[in-house]
Amino acid sequence: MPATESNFRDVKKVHVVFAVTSIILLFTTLWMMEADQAREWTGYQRKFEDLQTRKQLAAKNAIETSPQYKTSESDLTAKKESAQKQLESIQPEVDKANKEFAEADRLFDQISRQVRNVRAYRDKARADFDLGVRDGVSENKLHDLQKDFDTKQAVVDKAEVEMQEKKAARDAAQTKVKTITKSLDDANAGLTKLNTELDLREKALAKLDPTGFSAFKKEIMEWPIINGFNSPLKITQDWLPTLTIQLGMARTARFDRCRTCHAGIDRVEAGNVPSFPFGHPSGTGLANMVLEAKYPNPYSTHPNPDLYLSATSPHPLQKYGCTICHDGQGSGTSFKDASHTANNPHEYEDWHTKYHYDSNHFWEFPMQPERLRESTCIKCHHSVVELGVHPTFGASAPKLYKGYNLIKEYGCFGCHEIQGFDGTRPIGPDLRLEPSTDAEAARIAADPTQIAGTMRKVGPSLRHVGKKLTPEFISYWVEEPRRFRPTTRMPQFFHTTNLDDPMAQRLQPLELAGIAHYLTANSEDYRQLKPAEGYTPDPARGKDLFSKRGCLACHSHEAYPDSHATFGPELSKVHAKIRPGEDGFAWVYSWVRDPQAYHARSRMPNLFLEPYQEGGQQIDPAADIAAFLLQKGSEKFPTPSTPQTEFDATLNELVKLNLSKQLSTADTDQVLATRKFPHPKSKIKGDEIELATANGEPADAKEWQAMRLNYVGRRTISRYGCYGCHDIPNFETARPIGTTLQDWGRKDTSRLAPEHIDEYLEAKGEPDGSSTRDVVVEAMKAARGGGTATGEFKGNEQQEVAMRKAYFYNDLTHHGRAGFLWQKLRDPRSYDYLKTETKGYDERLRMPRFPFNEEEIEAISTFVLGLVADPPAKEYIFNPGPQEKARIDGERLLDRYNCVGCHMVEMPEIHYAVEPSEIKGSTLQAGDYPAARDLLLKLKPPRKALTGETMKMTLAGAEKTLPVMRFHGLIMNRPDPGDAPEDQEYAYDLWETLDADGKTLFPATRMLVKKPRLTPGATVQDGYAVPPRGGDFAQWLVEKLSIVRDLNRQLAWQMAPPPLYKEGTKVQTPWLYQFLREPYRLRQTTVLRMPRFNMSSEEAQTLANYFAAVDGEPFPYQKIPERDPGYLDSQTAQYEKYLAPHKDGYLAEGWHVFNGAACINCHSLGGREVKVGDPKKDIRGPNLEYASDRLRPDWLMLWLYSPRWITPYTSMPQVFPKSQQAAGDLAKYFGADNGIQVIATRDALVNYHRLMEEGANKKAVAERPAAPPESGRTNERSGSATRQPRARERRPPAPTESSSTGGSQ
Amino acid sequence: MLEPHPDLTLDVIHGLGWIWLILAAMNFAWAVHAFRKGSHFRTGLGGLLSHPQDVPSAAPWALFATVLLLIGLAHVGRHADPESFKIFLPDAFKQFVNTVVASPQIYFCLSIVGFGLVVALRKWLVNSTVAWSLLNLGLLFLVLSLTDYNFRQIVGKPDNVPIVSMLFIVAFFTWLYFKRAVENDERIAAGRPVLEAENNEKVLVWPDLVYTELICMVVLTAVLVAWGIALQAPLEEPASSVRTPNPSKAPWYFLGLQEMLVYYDPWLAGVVFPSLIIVGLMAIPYIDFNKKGNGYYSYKERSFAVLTFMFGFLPLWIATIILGTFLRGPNWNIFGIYEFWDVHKLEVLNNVNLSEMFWLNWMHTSLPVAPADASAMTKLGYILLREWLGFVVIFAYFFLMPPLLARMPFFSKFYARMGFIRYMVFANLLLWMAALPIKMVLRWTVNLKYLVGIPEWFFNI
Repeated sequence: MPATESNFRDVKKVHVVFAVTSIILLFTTLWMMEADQAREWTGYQRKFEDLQTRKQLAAKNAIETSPQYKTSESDLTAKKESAQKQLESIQPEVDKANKEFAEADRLFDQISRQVRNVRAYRDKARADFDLGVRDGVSENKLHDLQKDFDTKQAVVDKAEVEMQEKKAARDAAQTKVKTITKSLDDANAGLTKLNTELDLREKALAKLDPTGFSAFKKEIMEWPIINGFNSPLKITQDWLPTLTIQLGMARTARFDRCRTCHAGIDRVEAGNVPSFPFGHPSGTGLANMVLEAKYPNPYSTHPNPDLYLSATSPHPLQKYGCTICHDGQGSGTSFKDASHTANNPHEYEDWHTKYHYDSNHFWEFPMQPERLRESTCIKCHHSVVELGVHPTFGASAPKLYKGYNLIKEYGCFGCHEIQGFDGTRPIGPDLRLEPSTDAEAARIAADPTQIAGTMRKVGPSLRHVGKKLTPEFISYWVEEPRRFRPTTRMPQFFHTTNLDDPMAQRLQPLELAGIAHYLTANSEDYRQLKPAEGYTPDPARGKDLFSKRGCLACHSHEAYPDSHATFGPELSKVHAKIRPGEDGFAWVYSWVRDPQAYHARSRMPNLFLEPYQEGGQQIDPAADIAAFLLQKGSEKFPTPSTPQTEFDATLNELVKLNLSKQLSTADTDQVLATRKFPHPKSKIKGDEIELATANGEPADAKEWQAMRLNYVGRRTISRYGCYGCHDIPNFETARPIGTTLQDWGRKDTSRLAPEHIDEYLEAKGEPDGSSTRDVVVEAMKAARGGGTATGEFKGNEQQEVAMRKAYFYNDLTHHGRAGFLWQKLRDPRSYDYLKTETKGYDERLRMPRFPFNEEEIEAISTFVLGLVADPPAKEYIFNPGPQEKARIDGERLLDRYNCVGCHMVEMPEIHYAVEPSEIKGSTLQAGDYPAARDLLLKLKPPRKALTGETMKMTLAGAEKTLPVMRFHGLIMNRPDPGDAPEDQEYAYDLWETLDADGKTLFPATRMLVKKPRLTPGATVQDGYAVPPRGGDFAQWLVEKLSIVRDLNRQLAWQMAPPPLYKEGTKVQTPWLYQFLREPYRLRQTTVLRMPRFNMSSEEAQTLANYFAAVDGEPFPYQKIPERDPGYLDSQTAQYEKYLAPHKDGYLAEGWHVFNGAACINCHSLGGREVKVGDPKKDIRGPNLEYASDRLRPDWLMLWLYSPRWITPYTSMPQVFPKSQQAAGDLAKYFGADNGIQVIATRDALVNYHRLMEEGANKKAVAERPAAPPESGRTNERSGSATRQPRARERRPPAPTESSSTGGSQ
Repeated sequence: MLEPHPDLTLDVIHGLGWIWLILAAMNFAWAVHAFRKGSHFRTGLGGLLSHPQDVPSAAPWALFATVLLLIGLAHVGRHADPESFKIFLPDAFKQFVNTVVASPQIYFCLSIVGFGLVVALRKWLVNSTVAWSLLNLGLLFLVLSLTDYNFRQIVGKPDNVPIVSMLFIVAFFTWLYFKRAVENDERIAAGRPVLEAENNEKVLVWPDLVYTELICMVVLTAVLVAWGIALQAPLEEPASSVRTPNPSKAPWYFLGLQEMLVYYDPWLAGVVFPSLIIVGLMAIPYIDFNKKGNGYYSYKERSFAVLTFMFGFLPLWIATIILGTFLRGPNWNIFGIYEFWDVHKLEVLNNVNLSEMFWLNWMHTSLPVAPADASAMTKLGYILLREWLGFVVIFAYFFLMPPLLARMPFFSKFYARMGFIRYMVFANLLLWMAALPIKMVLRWTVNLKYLVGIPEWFFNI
């Protein structure tokens, strides 16, 4: 119909247009539905369902095809058939029994129904009665109600009796049937049991992959629109109402939808074994995943279900969700929206191609890339240590822990405060300097809203530095510390990239001279010690003492190239830097003898290097060591020089620069011209005080130069914040100069100042001066070309190194925090590139360059980026119990005082392949008591030696798979290198009780392991698969002693610092506290003794508690039941017949036992010193006087029973063997029964003080000599002890001159 | 990947390829359209041909479309090394455009000159070939500009899609108006009836109106659904009062108002001006005494009304929206369309109040300040004394200008036709509209901040 008079448009045409547009609308609607159906996650869910089906099918097939199953099934079927046949033969009997049972069952059913009915009437009657009582009805009425109840109860009783009869009849009939059909029933039950697993799989399969109508139903549920109603494919959401997230201005509940795609993330099987172990199968197909049991993301289970997600882990899914740890956008349901973060730019490109991924910079909490993922742990784990050392989970965040330790070691907190509290509310790890003055400490202690910092300044005190160093050395050192000592941790302040212009070159030498001048001029005096008059130190003896007195536990020295301790400075060149001549010697001597006199907060312990007599000769070990260290004499150091002609002008320039903020230019000129500061000294608060004379008069020329140098030095120290690490006079109250870091991890990226860093890294940036950008571009090309797989990189490690750089570089160019931090730590001053041209000299960046490598930078970044000051709700914050807290605090102290330098705190572990038939369980020997074994199993519970791990190896030409056995022990003999490789054999002493294949191995068992049996791998080091924790020095000393002194390792170990294995089970906490505060000479065999650390009372308590906590023993106080009068009475009663003849009492009898030859041959006791015959041969034990306070009774008991079970290398014999009768004098006591004597000895030792005090025993100690002189001084640094561990304080005797056997070695 | 601001990536090249192909398709369609019209032109191709020949007008279009097609294919077929791809905007051109655009003075002058040119060249512009060519130029400019990262960041933002389309829509409707007005002007000059009179506009509700509306509804729904699927709504960071985005921009339709904030105090730019715009638009029927142009398009018969409205709409409203959207960057600084939005860019903003100019520069005295212990009235007096010149200027502008204008030859007719009240309303509205460009000019020329600056009461003009 064309356009007409009545119609404006041709209606037919309009129809067509309408039709076309409608079809377009239809298609857009379909497109919309398709887009909805095809959302990313649905694909993953479908695939995961498919995977599960395949997995169940595979499991089902595996069961069905297993020969075991087949034989069992045919067996049972055969049994069933034969049973059926047998029953058929007696069919009438069976029928009869069944019929009888059916009848009895019917009757029982009938009566039980009846019982239910009558009970209902009875219950109603009772309720009516109760209601009557409530309503206060009349007595009569109440009586009627009760009667009614009674009647009904009677009916019930009757019916119940009948029911019981019928039940008995029915049961009898049933038993009869069962007896007849037993064989068939058994066969059926067996089949059901056999098929349980199979049934489970089938049920799961029916759900996953249904057939028939169910399949149709499932299909329909996935259709558009219908899928809005409980579709099998749906978004899985974890709602975490208390784990809130800050979105702009609002804090809202967290919704984690991660499981929508990561559907298998929390699927575990019994024992927290991942159902879908993470891995990359060789092919991409689902079949490969199932076949190889390797599932890539998003199908895999969390790789560590013990620690995360599973219900029994500390982080169950329902409570924690995902994004609190991983970050990212929990509400996102596509790869991109979830804010995944690529681990390197190459992965980013990969994701871009595969998932159309682009990073969304609007989301404030992007997921942590894999390399930084540990950073989020410290949101809740403010104490950090448990992430690095944990008895159950090991190092769960090693990179973070490394970063934390680096920050502690390098003292970043000296300039950058890391505040762990908002008031007293914890917000993160707390790393703050301790109060620098007593006044400040007192103020904070008095303020309930503040908590004091705990970190010590990491550098040495410079308060008395004038006594130690020359000004020349100071400026030489500060100019470039690593020039003198390549291993130093002191960073580089001068000659950096932003100080290479002529102005800086001109000013730097005078700044350095100023620092040296200031420090020397302000150096304070302190009390120095001096060797005895006329003493001639012997450097050769000093060298020997240097190694044996434990110096090498912390320091290294070129004289001992095989010792590598780095806790203290490397000392090879110390002679060069110390002041020349007598002064230098006096300083070193004094320092070595009493470090705290020089530096009150030094970590260097007092090593008790008191002079002693040996062979009639006076020996002063400190003097000898000082002589050894200074043997090569001092050196002269060049100072950065300024020509004399320019000296004055340059100095003035520096003074002017520094004064510009304080005085006007005219005033500054005036000051320089008149040598007089406009204000009197008393009115000046700042550094300018150095420019004012005391009397306000102009200074003379020489004085003026010194004053200006002092001023410039003081200003430079202020500017660079040297006091962040060092104690410097006049800077006691100065504040840290750097940015605070506690919330740096969330620092607004627009507030970072990248300046010209892109240009810098394009022009240079690498240590060799090449362009970082070029390096990264090359690396990216190589990665795109296939990386390691195609040989572009030499190995995964090299690729990771290159990709790490690429990640950080890329992040920096995109203005990310991680990249900014990376470059800041690589070269902090590079951010001044082409900026110094337009900024003032004093505005230049000040952060020095630290000698970090990129791996360390990554670790530090992981820590710093985790500092977000955004702790979740209180219940999420890691809150250790007392035991865990003691452990964590103690771990910190182990590091702080380098306890692990000398002592092993965890024994090394040996892994080797063992033939089960070779394992021989230990048996009690003739001398051993069964009671001793029980005690052993209590104190050292057996550990499983076989973990199911296996190892393939060739034995006698045959390939064999052997189980791997693990145990803790020490090497007692190394293989002879001359032997054939297959004969080389290690001998270990087992230190723990083992449970291997059901057999128990006692400690001290000698384990002989052929070298080829040890598991191969990178961790195998010198016979140990897992090296010991700590004790490097002890091991070094053992090797040295066993070679130099030709000792066996058993003796050598007795001379070295002992492993602190199971120390908590051994010693009483109060004793350990005392001992740590004031160590005395305990062991007589060791060549060195425990030094006195600069430890506060709290620290000593913490450390004492630590050992108990690690071993699960009670602390801080222990119950000693052996001291109860009740216990003693019962013992007395029990051994009445033995005690009667002597009438001395139980304890005194015990005293007689251990006061006998068996003990006093080696142990001093009751003030009586052991007579040493041949110092080379005789081995002395510790003074028994200490045992009472020191040892826990159970431990002591086991020690007396069988010492080697506790310490395999000990020389202590089994004094009271079961197999022998007591002989000699001892035969008088307890009927010469060793078993009783050993108990009595223990009890007497535990009650030592009571014995001493009881007058009855006075005679026994009549010849007690006068108390030996006391040595050592108490060192109360921080307040008096808050609690006294023991009421009875007793100062142990100091090592006496005569106890020289081991001490002088 | 390592380049944070890549001009060309493979994704971009492929995307642009599709635009080129669409352009080619458009021009092929245009060539067919031209071929059907059958027009020819005679050319010797600058002497290449021995004698001039008749060439169909469609031929150059077909050739152009073919070139576009080839360029499009070159884009789509590109699969390696985007950095060496040759089709992009030359740096010199970008530099030039950046310097031209990145100054409000030049930008406004250009927008006013452009506006003048459109009016002056209207007869030429309404030619459909010219219009098509201009459209092609505009699209070519757009597609070539998209090879620049910074341009893409702003123009390619899903947020800004309506603004880009607005540019074309405004251009189209302006063109449509002129096309019809020019034709009607010619018809009136020739004494023929106007277009609208010739095509009687009376149509039936059904099917002509309702059916068309239904179809429009269907099309619009389809377009919105497709748009919704293809371009996901961009979500930015969660709103926070402590961390505002830089630049903080109003919705695109308010960016003209936000631009006024640069020149006027918020109470004026945010309250008085918007109210006056609405009131003024409502007042037009009561002010307008010109009965011509009623029910049909015409320029000549209503040139004052058209010019006034268009000046307010195109340079002052649309152009400021464009300025606010595409050129205002971090810290509200102006950036060229190809310039990186660097927060570190600084502009000198040493603006001074009129009172400061008067007292400090001209009188060489300090500003009058009331003694610290003065009473409120004294303080008021001092403030008025300080700002007296500004008050005088403003008073003169609003009260002396209308009578002065009424004496001028053009406006005197208005006064005569309107009467006092209507004239005063009209003159005031006109002066308010003129106030914006006047203040802009004052800012650019003498760095005038406020004519009256009384920060004590948050009262600045």
